[in-house]
Amino acid sequence: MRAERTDKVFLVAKVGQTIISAALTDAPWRLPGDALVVPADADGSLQGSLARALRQAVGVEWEPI
Amino acid sequence: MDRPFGLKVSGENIFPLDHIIVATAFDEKGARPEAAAEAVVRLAADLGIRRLLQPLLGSGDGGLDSIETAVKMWGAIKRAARSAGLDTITITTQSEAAFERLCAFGTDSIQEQGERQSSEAGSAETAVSEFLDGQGVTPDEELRRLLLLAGNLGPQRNPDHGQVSTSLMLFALVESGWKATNESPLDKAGQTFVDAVHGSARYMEVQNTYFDGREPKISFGIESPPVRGLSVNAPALLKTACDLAKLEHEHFLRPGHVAAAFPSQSRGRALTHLLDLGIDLRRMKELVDLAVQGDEQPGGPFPQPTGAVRESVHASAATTRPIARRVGGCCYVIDLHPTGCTVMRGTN
Repeated sequence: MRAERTDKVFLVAKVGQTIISAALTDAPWRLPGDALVVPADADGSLQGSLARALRQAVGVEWEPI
Repeated sequence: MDRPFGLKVSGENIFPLDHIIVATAFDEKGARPEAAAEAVVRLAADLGIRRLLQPLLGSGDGGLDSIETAVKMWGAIKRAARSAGLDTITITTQSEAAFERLCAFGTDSIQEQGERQSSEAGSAETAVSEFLDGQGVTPDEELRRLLLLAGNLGPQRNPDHGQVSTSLMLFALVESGWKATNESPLDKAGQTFVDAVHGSARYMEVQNTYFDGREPKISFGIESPPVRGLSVNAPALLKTACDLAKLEHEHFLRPGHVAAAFPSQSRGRALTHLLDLGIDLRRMKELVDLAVQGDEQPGGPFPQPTGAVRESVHASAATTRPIARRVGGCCYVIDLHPTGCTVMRGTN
């Protein structure tokens, strides 16, 4: 599933061999990538807005961690 | 939980992700999104991840300021990226302001010569930026976006395509949906050119021929293989575009400059396309020349003898500004809107 046209991706810099970009999106899992970082609360609970949105997109319940 | 950890994703997935990394911006010392971001990059390297999607940490429900978080994370990610060796790191945000701030680092980083790499294995944007750097200009955000598209169009034309060509820039200009958003006469001339190309009755036919019958997929993500550099004819096009930007005393090169550069090209595959499309290149070139010269009315001409007070009337402030910059010594530009004219007055 590729990024939709409404996502904005901007190549910011190349550091060493790594291309660093910025993306304006509410669904980062649609962008090309091997790993997605999901922000957690200090206690590790996944109650943040991105975690909720991803959970909704995936459509399954996650085990508490 | 103050250190990030990774979860291997297995089985059939609706998203092409191998790993989920869980990280928090908060530890016993408080909010430290920069420390978390650096730890994430190092963890990703340890896990063998090549392409990392890294949202801002703590700026959503965590309540941290998104711009401040973006700045902190940018520095940390850049530091960690030097040794981590990932292919791509995409910092994602829902905040337009944070996104803009991150994009601004692109301009800053152009100055960091130590980080510049050869275009042998770079993106289309990198290849073009390196050329533009030699011309003393920098691609603006919209042009960078357009170059990302050009880079993605290349392999659709030919999987082994490894160069940024005039044709790719032409089709990227049209397919990106670029529209002139300022009052620059050059941008308006460029817009007229793009509209003429897109509006040609033969556009789809020419495009289909170039892409071998396939409809090109429009994507602005970083997903194409690296390019080797510029095609033989691309430097001439970009050089013309840079010259146009310099006439406006612009440090940033815009898509409008590139569009306005096409009509004066005397070679290249794009020229063949334009002739096939039936574009009146002489007329387009005249429009660009008019945009460069401005539309000075009696009250000029410029430059006046040194020390003379000069005043001229133009159609708009946007027309006047580049002329004022070019002539120098302009004291002020007054936009007399809604009367529809601008007065420029100054002394040499």
